[in-house]
Amino acid sequence: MLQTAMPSGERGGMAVIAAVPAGERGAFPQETAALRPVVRAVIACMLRENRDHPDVEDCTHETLRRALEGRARLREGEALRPWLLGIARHVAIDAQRRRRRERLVREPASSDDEAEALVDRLPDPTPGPDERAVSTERSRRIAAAMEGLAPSQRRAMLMFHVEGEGYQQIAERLGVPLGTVATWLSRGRRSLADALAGMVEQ
Amino acid sequence: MTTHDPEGLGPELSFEPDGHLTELCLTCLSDGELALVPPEALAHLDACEPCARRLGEAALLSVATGEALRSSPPAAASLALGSPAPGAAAVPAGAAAPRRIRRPLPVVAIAAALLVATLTAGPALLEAARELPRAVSGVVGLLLFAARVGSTLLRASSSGAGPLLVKCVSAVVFVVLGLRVARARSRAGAWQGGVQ
Repeated sequence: MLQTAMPSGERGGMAVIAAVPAGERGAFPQETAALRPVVRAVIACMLRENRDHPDVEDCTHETLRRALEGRARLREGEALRPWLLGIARHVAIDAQRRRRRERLVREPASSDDEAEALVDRLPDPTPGPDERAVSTERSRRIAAAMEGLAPSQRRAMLMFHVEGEGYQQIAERLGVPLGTVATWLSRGRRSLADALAGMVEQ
Repeated sequence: MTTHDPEGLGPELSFEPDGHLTELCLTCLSDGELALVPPEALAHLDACEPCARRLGEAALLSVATGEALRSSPPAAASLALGSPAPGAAAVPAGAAAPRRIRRPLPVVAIAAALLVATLTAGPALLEAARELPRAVSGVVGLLLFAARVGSTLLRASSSGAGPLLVKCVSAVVFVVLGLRVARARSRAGAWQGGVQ
């Protein structure tokens, strides 16, 4: 349950925290555990499974473990939430690849599947000219989408996503109610997603 | 347990007519702004798998938006100006390269800094002004000494002590040339990879 209680699925997170030496414990494990419901939701969404699926539970546990072990990589002033959700995304992608490999072992693979598996094993190459062109086009679309927003909404988007401010600080600095900040962010993200949607399909 | 912020979302903004959570509510939850969301919404999310799936989508969208904006130079540049993206409309749609921002000269800050520096350096400047006569007399004394040495050398050369002067000058020239050669040699050794 989100924040109000600790359901059975949350016990894994507490086990991960308990594994941290007492002297090294601070606010970090608690903050990380508080984000566990969102982490589970992200992984469940990416694996297309329910939250109580064993793979979702395993990936959530793995995400928290990696976060606790790699917390030194979290830079000073960097927000915990996007960093942790980034780890969750990588863990879910690894799980998806593992599932695909297991499926290939179980089922007779077609030549297309074999080629796909081979591509999966290749390391990520450095960005080539075509990827750089895509990146430029992406930047152009982001700039155009941001220009399409109202100035205050644009500012709220940048304050939240680039400066790392919370809703409360944004509301105070811009002199608007909290609900307005939430609305601006929600619609602003949707605008950006719409602007970049065509690129994903290409 | 979080307490619901009175400024937060009411039930009408949190729930769709079909009983599921609104995108606005999911945005708040994915951003960790739990205080803005009514407790009923949290209870619903706990039991509703489709809403949990949408929460995951909202969180992924939030992360992707942050990455996109941080990697987009024009967006970051407009933030650096401290104003709501001024001049953004002046940028042609095809311009993706980062713009160089001309910040106005902080005249007031510079004037204040100069004033503080002058006030701080005041005692030291007064001290220096008090020491000035003594420093001037020292320089004058040095100049007089140099003039006396020169006149003595001239008188010595004119009174038959010329060979001594020539020997002194030759020795000085040899020492200077020797130092130059030694210095050139050591520099050449360093270029060849170290001292040999």
